[in-house]
Amino acid sequence: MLDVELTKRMTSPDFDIRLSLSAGDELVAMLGPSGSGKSLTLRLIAGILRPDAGRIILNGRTLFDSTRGINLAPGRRQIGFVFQDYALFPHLTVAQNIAYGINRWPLGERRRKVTELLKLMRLEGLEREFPTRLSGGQQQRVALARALAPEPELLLLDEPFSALDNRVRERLVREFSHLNEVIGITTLLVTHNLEEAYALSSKIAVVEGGRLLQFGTRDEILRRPQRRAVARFTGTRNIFDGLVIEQGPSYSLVRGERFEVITPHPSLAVGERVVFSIRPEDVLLVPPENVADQEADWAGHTEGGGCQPEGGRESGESSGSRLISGERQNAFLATLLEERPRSDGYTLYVSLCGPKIPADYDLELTVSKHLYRAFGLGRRKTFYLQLPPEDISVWRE
Amino acid sequence: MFMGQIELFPLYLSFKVSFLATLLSLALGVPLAWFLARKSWLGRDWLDALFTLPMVLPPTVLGYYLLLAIGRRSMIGTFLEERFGLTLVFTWPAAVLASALVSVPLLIKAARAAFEGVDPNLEDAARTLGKGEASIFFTITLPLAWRGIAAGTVLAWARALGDFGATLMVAGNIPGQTQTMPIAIYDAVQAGRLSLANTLVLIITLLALVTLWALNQLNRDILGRGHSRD
Repeated sequence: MLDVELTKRMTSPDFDIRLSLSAGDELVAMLGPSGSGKSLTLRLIAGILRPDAGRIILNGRTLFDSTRGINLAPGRRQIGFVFQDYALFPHLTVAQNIAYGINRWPLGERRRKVTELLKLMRLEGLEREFPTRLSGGQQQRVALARALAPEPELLLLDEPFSALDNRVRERLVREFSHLNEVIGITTLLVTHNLEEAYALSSKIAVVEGGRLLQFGTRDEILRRPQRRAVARFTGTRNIFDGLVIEQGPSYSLVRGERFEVITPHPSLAVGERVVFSIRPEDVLLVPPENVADQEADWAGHTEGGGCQPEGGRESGESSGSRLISGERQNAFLATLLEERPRSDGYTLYVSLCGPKIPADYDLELTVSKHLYRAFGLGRRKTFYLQLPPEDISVWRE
Repeated sequence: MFMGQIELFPLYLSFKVSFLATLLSLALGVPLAWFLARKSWLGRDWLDALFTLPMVLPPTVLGYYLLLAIGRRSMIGTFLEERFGLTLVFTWPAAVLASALVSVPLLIKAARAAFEGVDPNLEDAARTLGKGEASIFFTITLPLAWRGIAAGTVLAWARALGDFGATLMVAGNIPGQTQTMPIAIYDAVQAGRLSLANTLVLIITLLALVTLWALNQLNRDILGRGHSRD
């Protein structure tokens, strides 16, 4: 169990770190753009840098407490640190690197530990090699073995996969998540890569400018962002300002600038300003036969009653959703304005305002090649889409 | 024909003095270089400038400063003479001091660059693995900076071997006592004994060449074994 609360003023005047987080026996990823202070935070926790104020408590042991004047040396914190470029000692062999932190152990135990780690990390046969002769993945495993040798209570990983090329990275991420279950200690990992953070961790802390923006399970971070920066950084793409115009027992009706949606968020008040968002991959295509009140569509669009992107933004002019099987489920008639191929399908940029308006797109969504063909999509084509209420996040800014 | 007539003492003295001066430079220069490379503080650049000065100033000026510092009237000189009955000026140890003074900047420059070339992350890694500062210095920093320091040491030794001006100022030119090779050569030329000068020049050139070659070999054998860093 790790509890951290830190303040650190940096030499550049407009940057400081102030955050608190706690982690149980799990893998927590700190996710943030470069320069967000996440690597620095790891160094503060490890004791390489000294915080200005705050405290660090690991499994009940106080490692740092500014008010009580406690500041344990890095080596006494029982923290394993894997550096971004691995920081392997180039003049020592693989075995010597791994044994570096345990060279006060009795010889027999030390040998046993090194052998055990070589086996765990699949480095057998490489013990006499020097680090520069190893591949990136092997170097990473040596660094991990070296950090684990003294049996730390906490493992810190600074961008452990950033030095690897994509192909190797994917395999190593998979391997590592496997390994992490075997090691079973609290692990704090820093990355700027959402995929990595999501694949490896159970909890994600999104950090920007030295501040913790949101801390939660990986699905909360991905599906329920509570800050615009979090939504943006996790690839939500479709983020809108809105106004709560109706409040039901289990839903809210939120009006954006161009359309309104049903959201499941129950604790909003009518008249409240909110932000709502949906991820591109959560937008669904709907077969026309499932949409109930089609006859309203064309009338709305041709008369400009659906939405008016070029001029007025008065209330009542945003596009309302259609009924699916008798229920309002955020179904819209959409016009495809632009498409961009992806490795696994297409990114579509659509307007919810009918076929005649080539203005800015309203929504970005991703579809598979299969769906794209099944729906006969193409530029200027219209189709029905749905924003499933449970996939819409709503929060107050 | 002339080997018999040649006094080999200057040769012996030159090697003794340059060797001891190099040891002194190492003892002073390596810690100072580490300090300059790793610690940042207000007076660092001034300290660096101060220890670069001997490369810029004429050796006679350095010799003069040294004379002021350790002469019989100076504080150090008086202290040594009254307490231990020792006089430094115009003895071979003064030559060691002079040679060390002129050669230490070369060592500091090389060693500082070598220390700065060691990735601080490696030292941080060692810290997280429970090592103290002294242990880190001897197991990580020094082994990785060793090449640069060795190169600086060879340069410093070469400079010490060749020193003329500073040595002459503080150790004088006493044959059989403080007369080093460069001074002996100067003496021989002044006295018009050109064949002696030729011989001495040839000897010191060959010996310096062989020594440098041997040191390079030693460097490669000790340091090149095993790790292929470059």
